[in-house]
Amino acid sequence: MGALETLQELAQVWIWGETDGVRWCSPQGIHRLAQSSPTRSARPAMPEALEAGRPHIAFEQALAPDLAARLAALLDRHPGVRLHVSEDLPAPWHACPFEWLMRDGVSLHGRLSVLRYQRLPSAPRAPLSPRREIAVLNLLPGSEPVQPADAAAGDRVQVYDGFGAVDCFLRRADLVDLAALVLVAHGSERASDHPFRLADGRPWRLPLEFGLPPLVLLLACGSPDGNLIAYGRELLGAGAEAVIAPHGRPSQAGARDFLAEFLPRWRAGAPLEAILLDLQRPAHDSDGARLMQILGRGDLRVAERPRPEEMDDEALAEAAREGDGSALGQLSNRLTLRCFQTQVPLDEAEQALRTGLEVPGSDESAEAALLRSLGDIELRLWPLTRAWVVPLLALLADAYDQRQSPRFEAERRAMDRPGIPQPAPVFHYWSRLYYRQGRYPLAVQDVARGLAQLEAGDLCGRGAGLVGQLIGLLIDLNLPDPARRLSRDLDDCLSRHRGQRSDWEAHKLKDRTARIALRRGRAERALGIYRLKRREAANFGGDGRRELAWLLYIGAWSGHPDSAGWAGEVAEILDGLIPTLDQVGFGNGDEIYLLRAYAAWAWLGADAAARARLLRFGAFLRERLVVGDPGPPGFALAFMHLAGGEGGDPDHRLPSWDEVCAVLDQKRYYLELAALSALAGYPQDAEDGLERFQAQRRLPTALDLPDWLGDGVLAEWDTSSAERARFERERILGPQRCSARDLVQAGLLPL
Amino acid sequence: MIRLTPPLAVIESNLFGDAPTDTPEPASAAEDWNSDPPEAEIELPPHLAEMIRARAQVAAGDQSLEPAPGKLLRIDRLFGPDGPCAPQLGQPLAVLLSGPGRHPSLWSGWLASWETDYATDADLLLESGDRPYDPLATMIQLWNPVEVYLPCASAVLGQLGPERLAAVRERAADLAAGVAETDVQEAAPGTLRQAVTSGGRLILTGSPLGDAQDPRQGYRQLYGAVAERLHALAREVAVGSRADWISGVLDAFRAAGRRWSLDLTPVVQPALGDASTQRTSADTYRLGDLLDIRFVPAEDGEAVQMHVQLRSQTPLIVAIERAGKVRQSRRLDASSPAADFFAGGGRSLSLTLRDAARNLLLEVPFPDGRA
Repeated sequence: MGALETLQELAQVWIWGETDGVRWCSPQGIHRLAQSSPTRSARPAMPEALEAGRPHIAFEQALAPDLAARLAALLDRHPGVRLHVSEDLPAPWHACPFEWLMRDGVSLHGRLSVLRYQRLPSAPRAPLSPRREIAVLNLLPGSEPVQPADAAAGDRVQVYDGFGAVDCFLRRADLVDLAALVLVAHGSERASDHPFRLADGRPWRLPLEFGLPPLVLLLACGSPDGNLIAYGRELLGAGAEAVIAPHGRPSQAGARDFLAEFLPRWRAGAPLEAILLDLQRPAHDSDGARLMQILGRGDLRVAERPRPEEMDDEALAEAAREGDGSALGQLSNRLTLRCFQTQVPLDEAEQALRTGLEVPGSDESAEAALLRSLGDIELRLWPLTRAWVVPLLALLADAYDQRQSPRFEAERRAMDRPGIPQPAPVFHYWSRLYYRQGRYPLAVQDVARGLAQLEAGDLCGRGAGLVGQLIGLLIDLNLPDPARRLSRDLDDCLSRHRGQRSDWEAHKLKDRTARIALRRGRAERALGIYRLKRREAANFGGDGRRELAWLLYIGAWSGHPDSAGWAGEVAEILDGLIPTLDQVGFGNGDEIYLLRAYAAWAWLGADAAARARLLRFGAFLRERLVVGDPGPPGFALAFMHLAGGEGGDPDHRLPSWDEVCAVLDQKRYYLELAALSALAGYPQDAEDGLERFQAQRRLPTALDLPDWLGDGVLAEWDTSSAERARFERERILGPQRCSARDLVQAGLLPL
Repeated sequence: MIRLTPPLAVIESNLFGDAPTDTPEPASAAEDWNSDPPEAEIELPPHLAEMIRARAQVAAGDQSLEPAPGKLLRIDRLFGPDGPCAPQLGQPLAVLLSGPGRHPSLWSGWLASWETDYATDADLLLESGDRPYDPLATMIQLWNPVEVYLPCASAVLGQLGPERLAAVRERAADLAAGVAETDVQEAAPGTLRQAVTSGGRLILTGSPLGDAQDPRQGYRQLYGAVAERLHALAREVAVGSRADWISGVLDAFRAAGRRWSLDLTPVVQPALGDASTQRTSADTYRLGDLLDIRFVPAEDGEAVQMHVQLRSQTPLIVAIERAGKVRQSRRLDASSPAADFFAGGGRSLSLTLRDAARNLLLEVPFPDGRA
């Protein structure tokens, strides 16, 4: 197994500090450690143990209990652990002798890779070109019998012997162009002095004014309290990306053996941490590799081409756009970690992914492609990443392929556990699953969970989707007054913001505003909004077909004189659809809404030609009635039945009225069923539907929505529901068989 | 202003007063300090008697001028590789040696003096435990590091033990690192105090240096000027040494060139902006018709940068080797016709030139010197 593959077998943990404590973040979850110190005592026995040469420090005795438990759990499940210790953590975290801790009688060398002084946020690093040279600065006296620098042979490795040559080289070479600088010298072993001694005894340190290459390797004696580790940190501050330095006193033979093994492996492409991990494995090594520590990047390596984890975001996004699933997974996980490390909400990862992949919310084909590409890899993503990816997939599936929705609902249950945060917008996405199934109480509760994480200032930012979803729910639950209030608040807020996202949200809000108008019996108002929205659709890459469908639908129901013209436009589109009908997606696409509207027109406009045209879509509608959301195809079929008269369809090319109603009933379209049954003259069915709808609207537990939301307009949910219930019964279950016009005026037409 | 003893004018006069510009033999006054004390017919004041006793004890000890860390030396006269310097010192100087310098004849250390009234927190005072030492070297000026040209040393004034030398170095490092307290508000000229080094060693120092009114500012200027004379001498020694070594490198190339039938000739280049005149570059040489090599001496120490430019039509491999082991190596060809090599003395290095088939075309051993 190669060095890279070995690393990939190991568990990864990132540890950093936040104001409320120390974070432990692994792909499996993020937690706050119960103790902010890594060790039980203030100062573990590392220095003394190093002096003695044989440190034996018991794992459980040394580490703070929570840290010990978490680390032990990972070590039990994985061949090793990569521990990234952030530079912002206090010194004890970096001084802690993690690798020397004993478990089951052996130290963790070779199993635990500790990367100290890690920069936040973690960022990818392209491999270094194999053409870059390695400079070995040999400051040991020429008379020393063991010369570690002699082990530094190989292509593009240059050794500079003696202070004169070294000083001359440092002043005149371009150090930044090197791959690495290896310094072999005697150490002063004193924190208060320069770290090195020249052959003539003079104290010395690397000049930092000339810059440093990405890697600096120090082979000198350090003090037991880690003077070279402190110095290495200084080198990181001066431009080095990684420093390998000893904690303690390596022997010259140990340094020579380390260099002899290290350089060829590194030049061959192995990352620093993989090499060190492997070299620290032999138990007999106590004065060489085992004393070495990595400060800064452990992933630095030499290679011609980057692996996905080494590509920058732009390159990964480009590869992902071209269908590279590995790149997409890498990018998604990276964005997840970055959110946590920069302490921004996890939903920022979705926005960053959309930006990188060029998938704005307004681009339906790009969103559908994202559903496919993310859906292919989601099971391979980190659990932490799946916390935002799976809900996003649920949202996308709802829009573009509802056949997948049950899968994501099942996955949701597995993700609901400690350590997996659920950012506010995620509850909007989860709510969509319940919404589509007519499980309104659960859908509303999800929205409430999301809103509980937000503040008033988030209304049209992170809260826009949630509030929009709540408005949609209120419309479907026939509570137009609170919906109207929230819609106004959201619109006011969006009007104060600029940007593509705000504009898109405002555009989408028009849809809801129009439906609120319909619920309030203001069909003309709704038509006006859809006329405007149709004109603006092009600004968002749309073709206006969705808006056309709504114009025809409302126009047909309200008997608007422009309806015939809209019907003509729709007929032309539908005729063009026939050859590609098998390619229509499994979301609620424009096609299905056009068919619904055209069916309403065929019925309410008494257009026989339209009904005949619709029959060509019979098989399609029959299929879609039982795959995905049955609402729009079910309504279209119901309208076709109504257009055919009370006797139903004579040529049996359509599912029967009862079959259609049964499917709609199963998917809880109760209010719509009540309205359709009333129109068709089935009062008992209408009453049953209305009862079930009103039961649907009752919440099992009191809603806990934030006070800032609509000034508490939803506080009187039960009272509002009761008022609406009386109104609905009057209009649908009245003594007279209700007409389409009645339903329009009452706002109870199927939406 | 606070009056300290002796007055600055006296110190200045002693340091820079009517000193002989050159005398073949040491000035008698300084030499007399090493001679036996005069027989005392009358009782001397106790402090004078103590001084004489101390000098006598030192003089009776090891007087080897072989440099060693912690050794206190006296400098009576300044002279460099080319002879005595002018003007000469007005009074003997004391130095404490810390370690070797950049040349075999140079050691680094600090100036020492006896005017303890002027002690600051960057001065360390020797104590009874350091005896025997000559009172001339009572106060180590840690703010005033020097490089000493060893032939100038004329007598041993004492020898600090390892612990005390460690304390001196620790205090110097603390001062350099800003660890030592230097609050000017606490300036109290003429007073001594105890301090602790970062390593926990107890030392005796003065108070922090005050503002421009503090007479110790003037004292530092005087001794700073003295130290500058030692620095100038050290620079002269180091540069002279480097020049010798570089000259040796060129000689080695010429000798090797003759041996391998590759002449080393200075490169004649057209002067910039005037093609009608020609000039010879002082540092670039042509090796046969294979390479041009520009020799650029190091600023510090015996070392050289060699910028090698391929002239041959065929690839060549240039390397720095030691005992047959390659230290630096580059293949020069049309795509990569130039490279830099760095080598110093005292490392038994050679420059080798090989063709693409690795046949040796030239080997030049670098002259020995100091590493």
